[in-house]
Amino acid sequence: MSKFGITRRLAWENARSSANDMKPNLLSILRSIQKTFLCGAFPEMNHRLLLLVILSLITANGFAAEFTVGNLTVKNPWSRPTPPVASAGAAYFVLDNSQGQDDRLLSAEADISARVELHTHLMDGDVMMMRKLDTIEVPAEQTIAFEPRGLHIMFIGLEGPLVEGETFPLTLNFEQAGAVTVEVAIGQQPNAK
Amino acid sequence: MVNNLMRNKRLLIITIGILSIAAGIGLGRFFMPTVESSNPEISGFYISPALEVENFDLTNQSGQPFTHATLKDRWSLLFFGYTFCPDVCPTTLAQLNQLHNRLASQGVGEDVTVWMISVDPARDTVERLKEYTAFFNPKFGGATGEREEIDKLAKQFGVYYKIHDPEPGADYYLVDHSGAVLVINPDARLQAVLTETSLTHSLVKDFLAIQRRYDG
Repeated sequence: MSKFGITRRLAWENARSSANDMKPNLLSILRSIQKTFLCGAFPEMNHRLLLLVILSLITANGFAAEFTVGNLTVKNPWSRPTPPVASAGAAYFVLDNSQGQDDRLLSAEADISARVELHTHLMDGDVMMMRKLDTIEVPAEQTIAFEPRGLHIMFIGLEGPLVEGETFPLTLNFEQAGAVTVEVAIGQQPNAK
Repeated sequence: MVNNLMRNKRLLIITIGILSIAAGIGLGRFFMPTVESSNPEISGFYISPALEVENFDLTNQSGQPFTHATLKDRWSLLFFGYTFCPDVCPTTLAQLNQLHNRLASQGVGEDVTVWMISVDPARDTVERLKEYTAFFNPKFGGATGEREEIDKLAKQFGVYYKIHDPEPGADYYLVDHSGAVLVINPDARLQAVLTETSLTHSLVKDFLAIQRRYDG
């Protein structure tokens, strides 16, 4: 199982580099934000601090993580926290194959449950029919969203509850791109589209 | 001079004409409140008049009876699921929790109760349901019971579910079920059915519209 070519980029790194590209007139924008929203409550708050507050508000909303293998990118893997009595859980992410070739997700592995399966929901009217899939097609130049009420990785026979704030490794095996291990963040759904 | 009078007269007629059209539109709006009388636009179905709910006999998460009487004098949001469900049920409960928090922040959280009805009593005891629903919100309830009583409730709401046999080699089974949320008004009548689209995109707006319409 090769882990080469896996990069992890955090949102704050992007935020930091874009902060370096700041244009001088950003100062005036910040000043007006300060005037509008803070109503001069913290007149001594300096602009650098204000910028930090704004950036942290943006990034705190979603711990944006990306994992790449070949030309495939797995974005924002996440899982909902589970009640202690729950025996099943699910993981979601966005699979970006816009630069890649036709591929196929063959299986997933994690050591948090007895079984790890690929599942989808078929909708018939408002009836949700959850079904196990053997593989999931990942066509070239497409982005596939694994999301609630749709495609998901299902964990059956959880060893313990999925606890908010924790993470766990999940390995996805692709036919062409190979294997990639992503870190699944347990929490609420990252910024929905 | 005559010309001037003629012109003024024409101007007067035009003015009166415009004013009467404007008054007509105004009066029309006043006497035909078409916007008010139509059903609220929600992602789902608003039922008017609300449908009576026939009695049923289930048990709630604390071992108390869950019957028609439980639904009276408050808004109830019901959905059918099972605790083995890893995706739709937690997602629905999390979305209903967002709605509940929003209502609680406006001081009206106590007026609305969320119920998860388990269609899988073979695996879901009421104790299990209690722990499951309380994880999402301690005020949420759960209920289940005899298959016959579950069906009594599901059928009158048009809720479909199907319990599958385990797939070959699997040590678990799946349940197909309707993902709709049923909105029961304080008269214990079915007032609306909210779809999955509503849950994801417009739950708060839709629920408030239903309440407003009910309050008249």
